[in-house]
Amino acid sequence: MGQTAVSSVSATGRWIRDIASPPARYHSPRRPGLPAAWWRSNRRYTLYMLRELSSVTNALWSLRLLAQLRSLRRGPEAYGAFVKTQQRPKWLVFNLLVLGLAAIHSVTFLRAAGKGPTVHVGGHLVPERAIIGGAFAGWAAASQAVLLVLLARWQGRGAPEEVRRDVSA
Amino acid sequence: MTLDRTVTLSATRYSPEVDAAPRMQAYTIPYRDDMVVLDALNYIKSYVDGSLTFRWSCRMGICGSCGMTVNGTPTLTCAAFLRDYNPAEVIVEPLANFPVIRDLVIDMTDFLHKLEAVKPWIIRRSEAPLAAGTYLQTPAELDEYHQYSACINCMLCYAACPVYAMEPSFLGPAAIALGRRYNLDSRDQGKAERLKILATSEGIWDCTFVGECSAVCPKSVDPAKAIQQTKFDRTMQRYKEILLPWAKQP
Repeated sequence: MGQTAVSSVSATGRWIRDIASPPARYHSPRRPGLPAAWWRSNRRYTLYMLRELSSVTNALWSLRLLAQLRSLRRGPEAYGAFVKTQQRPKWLVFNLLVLGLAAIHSVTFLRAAGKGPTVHVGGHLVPERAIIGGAFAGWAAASQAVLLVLLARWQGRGAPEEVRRDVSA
Repeated sequence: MTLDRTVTLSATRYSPEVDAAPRMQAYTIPYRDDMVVLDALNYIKSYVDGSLTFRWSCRMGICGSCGMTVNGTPTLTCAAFLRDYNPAEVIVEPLANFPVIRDLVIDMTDFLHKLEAVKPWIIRRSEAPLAAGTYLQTPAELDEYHQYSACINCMLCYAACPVYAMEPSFLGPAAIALGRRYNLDSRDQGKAERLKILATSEGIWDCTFVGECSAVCPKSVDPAKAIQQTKFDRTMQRYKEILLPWAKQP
């Protein structure tokens, strides 16, 4: 059969892949590469791709936030114009898409929390499920805190009249 | 075997002397609720077509020999019950991402060399004298690496890993998990040697954390966790090297 595979580590310690092609009579149907639709073959692959995609939309939304801050710095008129732009349907769709993908990103990220460093409490290993549960609980608590702060502000003088009316009602 | 019910199983056939490319061949065989896919393959081999070629050994999820792709998922065929697929047709293919030698048998040379590269054994800089007795471990020290020691080298994680499919130079999930297993062992002193292999662009840094390796592992080894933890450790070590250059490194 002819053994052709060799692996080694260079003087600098780097792993070197130096494996010759398998004998010609071996069939290599899927090497190298993947079919274009590989990520649709199961739900976990799809979630992974959505998680990766959400990084792009999150980055785009960050640019949008920078634009918002710039308009704020330029004064009330510029900021009003920016807010008006955001009320257009295409921006609403974009913001909703980003929100959905950010939620997927958050959920998949927090579910991965258990893969991080091991945690010991009282000499015992904390189970992965407890770490993930704690991460989700922290997320929920932080979201609730932000919501409460926003509601408190809206009820104060910082909120637009119509919002204050809605909240009081 | 005299049974009324039947199941249709399609298996990949490839004979290098005859076929230009693999093809599928369907077999209809008797079915029983307690049959696993490996039983079906053995039935075909014994009673229908003796030329069908596949690896197996222990038939109890220990040896890791009978890993194949069943209905698209890397699976130990000795642990895959036909009833879980019934009434759908069962499609058995060789493990993805490896060259195929014949039918359902893949060439595992690449995996074996990668496994060897991470030095999956205890490395000691100095041995204690025999009179000192065995190296003792506390239960907590055992807990650190215990789950990673359950790997049976079945290669399902390699077949499930899209990174390995795209980048054949990737060291791969099982090899990294085994490397971490020994790095976490309190008796071992070879961490620095292994990190030269693990902490490279072909090692942990090639992983994009798809996580499918852990999902398909039949022994719940969680190679994805091993990789992410090694990334964390390596990053912390690097920061320490930069911020505390005088401190002793492992």
